[in-house]
Amino acid sequence: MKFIKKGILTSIQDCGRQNFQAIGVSMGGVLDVLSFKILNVLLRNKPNEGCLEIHFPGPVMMFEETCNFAVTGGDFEAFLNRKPLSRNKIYQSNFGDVLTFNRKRVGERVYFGVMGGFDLEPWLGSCSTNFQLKLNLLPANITVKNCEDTSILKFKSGVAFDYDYQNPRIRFVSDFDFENLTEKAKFIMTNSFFEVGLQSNRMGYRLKGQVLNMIDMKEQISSAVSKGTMQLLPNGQIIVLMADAQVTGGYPKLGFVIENDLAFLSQLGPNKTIKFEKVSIEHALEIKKQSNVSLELIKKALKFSENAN
Amino acid sequence: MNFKIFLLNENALTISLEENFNIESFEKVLVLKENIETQKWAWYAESVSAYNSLTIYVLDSFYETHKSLKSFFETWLSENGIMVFKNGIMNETEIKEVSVTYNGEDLAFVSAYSKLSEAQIIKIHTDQIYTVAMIGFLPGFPYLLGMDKRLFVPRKKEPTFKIKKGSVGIAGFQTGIYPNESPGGWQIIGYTDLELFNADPNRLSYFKLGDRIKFAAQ
Repeated sequence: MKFIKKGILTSIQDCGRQNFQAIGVSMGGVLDVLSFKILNVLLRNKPNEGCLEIHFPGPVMMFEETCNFAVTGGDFEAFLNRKPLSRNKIYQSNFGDVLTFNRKRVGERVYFGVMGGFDLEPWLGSCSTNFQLKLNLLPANITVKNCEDTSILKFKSGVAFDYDYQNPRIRFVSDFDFENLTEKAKFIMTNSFFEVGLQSNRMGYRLKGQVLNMIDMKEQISSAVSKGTMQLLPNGQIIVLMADAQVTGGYPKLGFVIENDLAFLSQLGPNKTIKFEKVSIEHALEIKKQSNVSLELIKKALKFSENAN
Repeated sequence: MNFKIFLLNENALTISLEENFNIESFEKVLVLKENIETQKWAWYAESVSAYNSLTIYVLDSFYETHKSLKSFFETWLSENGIMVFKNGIMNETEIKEVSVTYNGEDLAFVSAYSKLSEAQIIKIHTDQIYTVAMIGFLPGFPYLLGMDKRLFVPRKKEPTFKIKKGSVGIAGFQTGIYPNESPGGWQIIGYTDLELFNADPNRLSYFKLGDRIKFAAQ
């Protein structure tokens, strides 16, 4: 398919590249992992098949092939020619069809994928765009891999499911310097609202809230940071690191946003408010497990509807 | 050996040495990293070392056989602790020479702050042998240990929007080289033409952990 317009910060994403953080290459990968997983389950793709991560204003794309596709994640009012599309459903394109995103309704990111996946050249084991090194950038044309079975009828019936993309509750596990926060700061963290700042992007989410203070400001020695890491900036504000964050950092760390809720956070844009809830690591792992169970249930339901057709 | 263990996220944990960082603490981190890598745990993904800490990333499959990342490493370290933290004998690797043109935009500031002439700064910076103690910030960016105290200067108050590719900078006890154009806060004292990072998977980072470096004035 061809990009008539590329949109703002449209990128190719999969789960990202691990194993090269030791030489400074950040992992990258989709921000809303939940919507990404659903996309590939829906499209019967391999779990790590690359997709497009779309921000608003989104791209304008013209299909040059017949393929089955779906959009998941936020709702930007996707249209195929003049037909409005629903999220989490399979559609078929014909040569010359145009896909547009008309209005930002819900969320910050939309995921677009095709059955069989795109024909992409991975770098260091991942197709994800690396903006820092300008690698795996969006091409002018993107080819759909040959897909043996494109008979849409088999796949058409979907399953109704929707995440609460605007859930302001963000759960985190505390560690590192959290205990070095003043009692007041600890109270503020879990009892007051934080606003998503304007400078929030694929590298990190800057939050705005009451200033958090530490009991003693020890000199920090840089160490590894990762997706979800909550750092306290010198101005007393929190930054939550996202997929494109650098691999090491020197600010005090307060803990991490759990994987499941990091996906929700990535769907909240500037000026949205969030509230932190502190959970134990055991609870965090239970949530992760439950989220995989839900995905398996969706897979089963899809399989069931395929056979029923 | 005193250390603390922190959870970085569901799939990563940081082992932090409870001591001041110096070349010895860094050697211990390297030895720990080597030891962990030789375990060949099926769920092991990668590890990222820093001056006095090592962060270990694991795959989801860790949780198929274990319950807690923290307890696993607490137990493993208490059983193997003395051995894994033993100071390694750093391989006396060849010294990689880096040619630098010492005409950085912040040389005047460094001179004023340190009360050293530009010639003295260059002499001190090129006299030392440095060790690559960490790679981070940008792909291939080497954090070098071993700088002479006389060159310790603060970072810029406001980061510069564009620091040129190949800039040699100093900040606090550290010196390093920018592999690519980037925003940055270090004081720039010179430039090198050396290519520090190449996207070719067979090349990637020019420096690896533990490499020894000497700067030469061009």
